[in-house]
Amino acid sequence: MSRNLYHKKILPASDGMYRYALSIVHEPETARDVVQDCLTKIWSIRKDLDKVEKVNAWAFRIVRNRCIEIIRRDRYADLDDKVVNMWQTGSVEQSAITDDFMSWMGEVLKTLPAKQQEVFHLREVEDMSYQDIAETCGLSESDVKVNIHRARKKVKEAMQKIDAYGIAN
Amino acid sequence: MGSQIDNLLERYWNGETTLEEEAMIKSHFRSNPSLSNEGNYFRYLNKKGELKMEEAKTGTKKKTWISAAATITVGLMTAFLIINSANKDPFAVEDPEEAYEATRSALMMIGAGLNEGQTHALELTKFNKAKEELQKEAQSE
Repeated sequence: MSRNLYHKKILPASDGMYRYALSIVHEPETARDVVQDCLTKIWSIRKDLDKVEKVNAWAFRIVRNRCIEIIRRDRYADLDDKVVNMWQTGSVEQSAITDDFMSWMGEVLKTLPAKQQEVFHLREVEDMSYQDIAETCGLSESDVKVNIHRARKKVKEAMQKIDAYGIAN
Repeated sequence: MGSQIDNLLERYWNGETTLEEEAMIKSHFRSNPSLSNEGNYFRYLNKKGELKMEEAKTGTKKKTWISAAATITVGLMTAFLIINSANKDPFAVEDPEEAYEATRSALMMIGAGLNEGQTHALELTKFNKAKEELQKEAQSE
């Protein structure tokens, strides 16, 4: 039964776990190592999988913890406190001129505070419910909602800016 | 449909949409070739969600394969150069005729040397003769 859970719930989620790890560590190889570590860990405790309430959010939380461990080990700033504050620097406008929409959007998202980037990714790319995101990130549901709303607002503002300047599409 | 999607989009940017509604927006822009920023934005999200770990894996597998191939090539070249330099006589002659000539001239040189040696050796026999004569004289006395 638990073994089935591993094959039915965990393995199919591994690509999502990889994308989530990648959104935090930004390095494909590190992200892959994170997922491999987590899969091994989950496999070793597969007997107790049926006791876990929300397997998906739980697995994503393990990924998150491992990412934070690695980031701390590599002496990066603490993920929870890290605020990338490039929003006002004009680098977004600069890249809007040179890059296409996809890479431009990637740059816009990178300017969001780490917490917003994280919840934004889980909602918009992994299609997770507010509740699951809250469980994964250790936040309250209302915190998740607020952070997603702020992230969307900034994305929208950035798009309005390039519309106003007539840059990109 | 236009007003429905506009309504959904407005609610989306206000953070009021459900997961199902967001899925509707995404699928709308997946099939709609709109070049608006919003269209590009939702296509960007769709594309991000399609990234697979396996694809990233094959990328590095290729890289590993290439680096392994490079290592083997460099190793083989080094081994070849070492073996080659160990076996190769700096005075080796490849062409058989040239080799024959070289051997012949070498033998001639040795032969000439030997002949020369022989003439010197003949001169030495003079000493022998002188020695023998001296011995004979000594015996007769």
